[in-house]
Amino acid sequence: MFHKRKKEIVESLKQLNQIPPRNTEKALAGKSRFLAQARLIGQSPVTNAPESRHNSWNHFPKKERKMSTILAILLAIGLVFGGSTATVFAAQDSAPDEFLYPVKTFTEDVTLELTQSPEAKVELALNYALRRIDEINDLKEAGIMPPDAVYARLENQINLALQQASSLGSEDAIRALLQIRDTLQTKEQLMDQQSDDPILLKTRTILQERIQLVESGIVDPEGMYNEFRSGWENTPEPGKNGTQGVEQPAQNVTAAPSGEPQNQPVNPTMEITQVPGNGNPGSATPGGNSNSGDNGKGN
Amino acid sequence: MDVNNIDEKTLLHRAQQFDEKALSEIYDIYSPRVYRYAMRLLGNQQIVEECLSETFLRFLKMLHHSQGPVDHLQAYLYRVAHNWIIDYYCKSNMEPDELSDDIAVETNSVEEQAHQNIQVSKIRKALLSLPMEQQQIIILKYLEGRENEDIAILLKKNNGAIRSQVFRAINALRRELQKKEKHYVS
Repeated sequence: MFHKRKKEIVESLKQLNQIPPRNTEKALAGKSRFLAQARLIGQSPVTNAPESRHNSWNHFPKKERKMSTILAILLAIGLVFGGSTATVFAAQDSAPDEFLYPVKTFTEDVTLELTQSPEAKVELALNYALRRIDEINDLKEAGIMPPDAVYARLENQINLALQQASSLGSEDAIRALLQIRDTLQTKEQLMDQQSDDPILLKTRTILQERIQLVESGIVDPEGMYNEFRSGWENTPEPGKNGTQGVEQPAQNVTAAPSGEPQNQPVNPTMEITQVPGNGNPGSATPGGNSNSGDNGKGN
Repeated sequence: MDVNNIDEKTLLHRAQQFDEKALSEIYDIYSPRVYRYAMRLLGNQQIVEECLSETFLRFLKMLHHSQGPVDHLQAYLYRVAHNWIIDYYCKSNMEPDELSDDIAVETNSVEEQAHQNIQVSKIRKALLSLPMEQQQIIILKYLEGRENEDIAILLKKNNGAIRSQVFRAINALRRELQKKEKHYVS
């Protein structure tokens, strides 16, 4: 009797085994998200571990120490522009409210400018965008309101990553865009979802808007690339607007200096523009340099 | 790929260093298994994707805090997925039969299909109401077709214990199914 009943149960259990295969695209996207999350989590410090102290003048994050190319670029900047190399290094740890911060953003721009491969540019721009988020968080923790320029740089650097990614060949573009989306999504998910802190909300809104933008790019990378192109073409050339080479903050930069809430743009910033407080000729922003128009595809 | 053929400890050791290749391998090996596990208990692909994503994210977070598993990764991932599924049903106030079911049972007519759907959700509900370990034993034994020795390794038990637990689990499932039958009749 028991065996008969057991057989019936086992037979009925088998109905649970008629599982449809996993959607291949979802499986790929799932894996890409998992690996992006791993990259981010692996790089972030463990919260309960003792924090390493900044006890030397040239302390800067481990990751950069490995990047000999960037190191060389930093040295070159120090030498070419006559400034002390030590200053350039010291600037790498500076916060947006500190004196050396413009040196830090300047070196980022030059590094981006000197980077030839679009893939490397995507990675650099994305890493710089993540830096901006960390800076915003650090300022929030210190009770300081982050300057609008930091939000604007955050948007611009994400846009630069998107523009470079969309300029890659179709399959590579999708892969790169998936990676950007997953990185941004993970960063957004790791933020306190319950908090109504305005700084956090603003940052999350920017990230959510960009994630939406990437989603559309994943569906149509070429369309995204063309939109970026038209964004550059519509951007006035330096000097034409009477700002002596420093462009006005983008009309459609969501975190406008007015401090208004950033839900306003229908199409979140397809342009990449120079940022106030970043007035340097070496900006890697397509709207602000001479190779605008074919940046990316030409590389 | 057979669990026994994977050098799981080495893989996990590399994963603890956030070695991307090891993590990629882990995802390739275990995500299809977790997918099948979650599909049996949820039946809905969209929610299963959420479950998978969250399960693997929790795994990464545990690795990051040096609290991840050192062996028996499959059992560990099943446990995490299982907890997620239980939380999901609790939070969404949903019963297993309220989800649209993507498990396709081949039938001849619409009536038969409806009947089969009820059967599937009844079994799922009964299975979910068992203690975690009994669920795992039933899934491993009868749905994945594993030998007792294999289950013993996965659940860190001895062979004899597994044999008696299989007996108890199937009995418990029978009781639960009887309860559900009564519930459906009434």
